[in-house]
Amino acid sequence: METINKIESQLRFRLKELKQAKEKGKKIIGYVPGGYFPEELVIAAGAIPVCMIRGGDKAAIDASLAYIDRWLDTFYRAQIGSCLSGEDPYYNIIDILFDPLTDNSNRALSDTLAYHTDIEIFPFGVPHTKDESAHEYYLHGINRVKKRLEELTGVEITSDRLEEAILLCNKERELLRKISLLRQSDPSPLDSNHFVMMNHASMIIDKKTQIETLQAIVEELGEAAPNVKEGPRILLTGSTLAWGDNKILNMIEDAGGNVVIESFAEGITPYWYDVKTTGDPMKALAEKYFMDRAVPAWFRPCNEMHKNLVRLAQDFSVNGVIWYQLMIRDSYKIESYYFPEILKKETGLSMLTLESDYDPYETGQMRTRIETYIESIVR
Amino acid sequence: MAFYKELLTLCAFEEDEIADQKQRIERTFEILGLGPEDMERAIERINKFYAVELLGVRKALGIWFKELFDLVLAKEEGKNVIYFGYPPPLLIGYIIKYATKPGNDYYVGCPEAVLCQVLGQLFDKLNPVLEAGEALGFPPGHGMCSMLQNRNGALDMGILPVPDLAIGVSYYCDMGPKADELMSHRHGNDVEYLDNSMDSPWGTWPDYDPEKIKFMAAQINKLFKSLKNKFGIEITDEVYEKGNESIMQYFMAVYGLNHHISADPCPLSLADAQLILNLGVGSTGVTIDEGFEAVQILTKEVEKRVEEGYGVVPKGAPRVLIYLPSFVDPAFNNLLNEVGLAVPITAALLPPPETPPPYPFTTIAEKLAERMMYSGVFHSAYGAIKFFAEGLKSTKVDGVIFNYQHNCRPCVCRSKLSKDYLDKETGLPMLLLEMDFYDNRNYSASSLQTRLEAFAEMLLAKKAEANKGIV
Repeated sequence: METINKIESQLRFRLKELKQAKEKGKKIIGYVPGGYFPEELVIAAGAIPVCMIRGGDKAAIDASLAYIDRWLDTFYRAQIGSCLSGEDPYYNIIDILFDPLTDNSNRALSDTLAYHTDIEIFPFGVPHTKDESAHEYYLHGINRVKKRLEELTGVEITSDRLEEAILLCNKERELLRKISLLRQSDPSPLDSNHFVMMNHASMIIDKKTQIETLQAIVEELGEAAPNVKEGPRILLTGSTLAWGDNKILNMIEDAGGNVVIESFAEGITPYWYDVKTTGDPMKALAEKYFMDRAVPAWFRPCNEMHKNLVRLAQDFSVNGVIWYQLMIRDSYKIESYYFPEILKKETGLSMLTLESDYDPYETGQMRTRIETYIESIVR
Repeated sequence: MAFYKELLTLCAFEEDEIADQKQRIERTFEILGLGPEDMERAIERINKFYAVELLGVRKALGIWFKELFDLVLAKEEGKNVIYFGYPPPLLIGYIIKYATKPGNDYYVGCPEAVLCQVLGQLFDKLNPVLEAGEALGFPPGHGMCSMLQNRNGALDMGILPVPDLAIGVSYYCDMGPKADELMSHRHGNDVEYLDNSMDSPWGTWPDYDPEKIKFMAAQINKLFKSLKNKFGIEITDEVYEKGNESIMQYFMAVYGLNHHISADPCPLSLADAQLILNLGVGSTGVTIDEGFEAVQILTKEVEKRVEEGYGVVPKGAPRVLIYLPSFVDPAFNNLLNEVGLAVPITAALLPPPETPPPYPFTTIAEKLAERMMYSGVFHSAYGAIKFFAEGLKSTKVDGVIFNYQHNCRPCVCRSKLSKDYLDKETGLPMLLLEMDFYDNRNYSASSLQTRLEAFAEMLLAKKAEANKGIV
């Protein structure tokens, strides 16, 4: 699996590449994760998309306290801290930050950066219900994004350019899907740390490079014998799995667990659906990014998320579910209270709920709980 | 003598009224588990915290009790029950109530606000309800909203009737609609979500993207359709106009009262004023019927106090605006006066800043959507802050206590931004005070006293210096 290691090096050198591209006049377009920002629009405008998905650092949380209250989601506090302390170099090179507004934690990021920095912040709303008016509002939002990108880059996003970008992003989604589905076999041929890294890379590194790498990985996995140790199969779900927040994956692995499928609001790119390549491409983007994809916990109601998690648990034949959420993310907190009952009823599986504030002191307790859970589902 | 007679008489109930309502009163207290000892405690608290010599205050207390009876007994009395979440889309609630008024067969309201006032302020018995909520997906230590702990806890304890419909504003707060969802999951009631997005860029209020009105209006129309299909309730232009008129009459009377409260010395305590101010938030029923009269009575009494030069603090005491009073703790509200501060105004009574003339929208839903946009808080964090800042500029105060609900996500999104922005815009001394308006277990009056005292001392010193002509 040499190719997987290439991703690590691509991620390491990405910042340098972006700086070089910027020097050559390319626009670097930042966006907030959550899977509601169509990268296709940026690619069609000849610019470079980059997702602000780094997290896991307690220092960033501490730095945020000068600007924002502590009673907000950990990941978004970390974003505020790492941007305003100057610790995240990605914030220094973006020309604009698009923020698909999902909930209040996310909105706090948008407002705080708009107030305290010179970065142009472009929020656009993601409704919390799926109906016709909501769909239209989301489409209106991405049309605004398109217009702003055209102004910023001076490039008209024609249907042809957009269709080409859609095909490119569909290819990436198809490959991620293919790799993910390989994990339905038992034992799974790759570990979750690697798959999550591929996901993070899909939001950071050059799309064509990423597609080449993923293609090579698909071929390698087709040929290679499974080399992952056996162990209880786990569905890992929750609010955010940031780039750099590997603690949870490592702890599950150390405890003998084997994460075979992940579902997160932020951190796992929604790869299950492609954008349709017929009809109006903007409408097709709104269909895929808003209507088709499975909803996160901040949708009302959120039965669709429950069904999706149950389906993933069944399709990937998992033995247990670990719910990893960050502190002060209301919708996930409330869902974590009543989803276990639904899960139990539908699949017979139990669920372990964990919460993190990116604090090193929480590791010991979390490790004990994971070990106990893994032991309990082995029996 | 009935064990509750002394209490209700203190709250301006007439003897006949108590006799007529006997069964309802006893049944309500039975459901709430309130007995003679609770009545004694309530009497003691009312005498301690409120100016019971004022009939207007006692009338307001009585209205809260009547609202409580109507709320708790709504189902048993065969009424349909419609709840709207907090912070409520008030006007929508009032219009629905007005539309259903002729048959008097609906309870429409914000139940958690009623419980805060009566079980919290008067009986000091809200903690078991909050604890029940904590066990139901709103655990302590996670910054979960105490208002929602209160409602969901009370439903589970069986002291609130399960609604036939809950209306949730789905975009201002994330926790409220999830609590509605949880309520529906546990109790099987219907929920209508009014969705939109607070995605206006920083610095743009009062401007708005017209698409937001289109989206919000579609959501309101969806609610109206559901009201018609489910209950046969029709929101006509006439209902909208008359409902609006009736509640505006009440709010104008409150503004009139506030005019007198702003005298020097300040003639009314925050604890007393709060009883009236919050009526409009939690009660759509008895407030419409009896609130106007109570406010008028209190206004005359306060006017008399002003004529006599009576003040709850000495003349010349530093005047502060507090963002919101506590909903559950009159000790906190009175503490402000005790540390020497006059509180002539809260954020709810700030004069609204000038907004552009309304767009000539034709439908009720569009008009309602635009009003929500201009209110500031439903527009954006900037909208809320700017609305407040503009109102503050036209108000004569020496300082601001910007207290905020620690577990309210929309509030904490803007708490530090508000302080920074208002410091720059107004130059007024400002205390940013993290607290809990709906639960005083962790933010009791005594735990906040030191900070309030320090702020008051600073304002007093500043005022003394200014009077000497040094500053």
